[in-house]
Amino acid sequence: MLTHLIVALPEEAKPLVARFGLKRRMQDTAFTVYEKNALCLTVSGVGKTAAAAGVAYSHVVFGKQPGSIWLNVGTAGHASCELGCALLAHKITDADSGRRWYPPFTFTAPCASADLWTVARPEADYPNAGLYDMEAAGFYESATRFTTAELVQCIKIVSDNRSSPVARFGASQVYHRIEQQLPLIDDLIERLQELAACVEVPEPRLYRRCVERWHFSAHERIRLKRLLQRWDALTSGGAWLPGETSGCPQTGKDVLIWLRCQVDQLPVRLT
Amino acid sequence: MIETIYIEEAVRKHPRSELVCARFPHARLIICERYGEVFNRRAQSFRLQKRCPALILAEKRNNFVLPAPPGYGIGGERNYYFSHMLNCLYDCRYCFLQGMYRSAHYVLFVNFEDFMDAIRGVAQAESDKSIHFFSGYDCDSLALEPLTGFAKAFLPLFGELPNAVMELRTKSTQIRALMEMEPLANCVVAFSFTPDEVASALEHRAPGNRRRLDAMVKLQHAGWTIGLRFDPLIYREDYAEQYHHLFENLFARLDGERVHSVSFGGFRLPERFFQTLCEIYPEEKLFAGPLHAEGGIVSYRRVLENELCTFCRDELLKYIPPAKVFPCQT
Ligand code: SF4
Repeated sequence: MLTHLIVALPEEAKPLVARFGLKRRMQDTAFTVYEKNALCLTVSGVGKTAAAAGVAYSHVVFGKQPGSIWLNVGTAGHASCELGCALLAHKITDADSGRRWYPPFTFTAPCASADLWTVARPEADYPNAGLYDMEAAGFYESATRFTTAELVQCIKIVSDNRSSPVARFGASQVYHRIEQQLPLIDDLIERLQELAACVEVPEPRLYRRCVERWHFSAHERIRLKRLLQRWDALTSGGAWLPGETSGCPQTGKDVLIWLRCQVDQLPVRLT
Repeated sequence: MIETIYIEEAVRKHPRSELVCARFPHARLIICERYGEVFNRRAQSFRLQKRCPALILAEKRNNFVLPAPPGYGIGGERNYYFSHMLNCLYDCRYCFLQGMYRSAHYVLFVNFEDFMDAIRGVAQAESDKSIHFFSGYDCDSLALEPLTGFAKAFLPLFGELPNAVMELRTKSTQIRALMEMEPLANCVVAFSFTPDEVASALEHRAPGNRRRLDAMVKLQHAGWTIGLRFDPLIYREDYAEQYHHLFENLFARLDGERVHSVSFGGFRLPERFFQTLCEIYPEEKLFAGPLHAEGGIVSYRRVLENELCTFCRDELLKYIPPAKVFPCQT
């Protein structure tokens, strides 16, 4: 399963690129994209629209894989929280539209969490008790189109607060803030990967062999998959292919009929 | 252990919300407007949420009491259900809630008093009829009793409504609140069972049959009216032997004469729910078995279902008079 990291700024990307040994994909020009094995990182640019576009781009470029993990890493303001503190977003509010999202935590979070407001311009007054960023709402709305909400999270490192306002921090501080929290980000990615593994649906064992041998329409492939899932469940993955036992079906349709008969006759042992 | 509590702004200061929150001082509290914006969202995984469900404290605003589906009943002239809670502590693989809801979070409606007013209204509107109220339709009635105080709050109401009967349906052993009260003649504490091997394969996190039976026996000795529910009946090749033993074990310890009712029904689910369940648990043997869809319902093939239901009915009639046995036809 693939893990997509989405950041707004190159300075946020750099420590992550170094930590995970990511390599730049030179073929991508619309966004700066890095990858290594099952981890990829897209630098979306600032703002919720850019974040949403970065998510969509990454989704398409990496083969629209279902069940992927999406993590927005970035810096954010907070009225009172200490600089450098890492917080997960447990409620994201788009300050412009008032729309809200609630990323579900189905794992033990490695750090505290907070409300997060996504604003169009840097927020210097921090009117609410929570984080302020410029991307999370766009990121979250877009990423939850492609995977289940539990696998979409935002982690923000506090870069400014009332005593150290937004105007006063620069690129090197951004780098430094993210770099300090790399072990925690690493830990979070691992927890999300464990979670994703629980809902990964393996392809039925005989599926490839069947589709290589017979022709199935798109609808028939869905039926084939489910029949083979049943076969795997009831035989604990017993090896079989029609024609390897008796009488070889000629077409995909014949296979489905034959397979259905076979599966319906299998004994059900629940344990 | 609850790690996250969502609270609707409107019930933030409700005494029941405060009591519940006080039990989980370390949980993260998140304010929402309406529970639906958390609970009904698309793109949620029931399977993942079941690993660590959050609690949502909400206010029910309408439809407090609804007519039960036709064919659902244990002898009342009118049947209603109400749901002070959505979702369940346990994780039975055959449970229709997994197909019905997108989220596995527990929703607790804290405005019990509004449910009670509605129940009172329905019961008093037809005071010449026997009216049954089922509480365990969208949850297990007792599993979260120490947290919700549901039975403790609702049962006194039924003391005032002689024509009403409340069914608590459960697989839980949380009977302390009941044991501390005077038994109510018009409350049926109904326990659900499947044979031991089925229960251990499918009823994840629920107390085992022995513990359920212990709880039933205690309640019966204390004077509570109890019921037995075998719904769903689950087919296996050796179902006859399995159900024979189950009934034998139960009636060896229960006083059959004082059992209020026994109901049973074959495994069945609306087709849409069934498809969702297959997507959530594609490897589940129960869903891989000899089931078929007809009229929007997935169930065992008719011959098999008749065989299973007839066998169980005949076995049950060895212990219970026919008037107390109710096939479930919903
Ligand atoms: S006890 Fe009842 S409500 Fe709870 S999971 Fe099992 S079947 Fe569903």
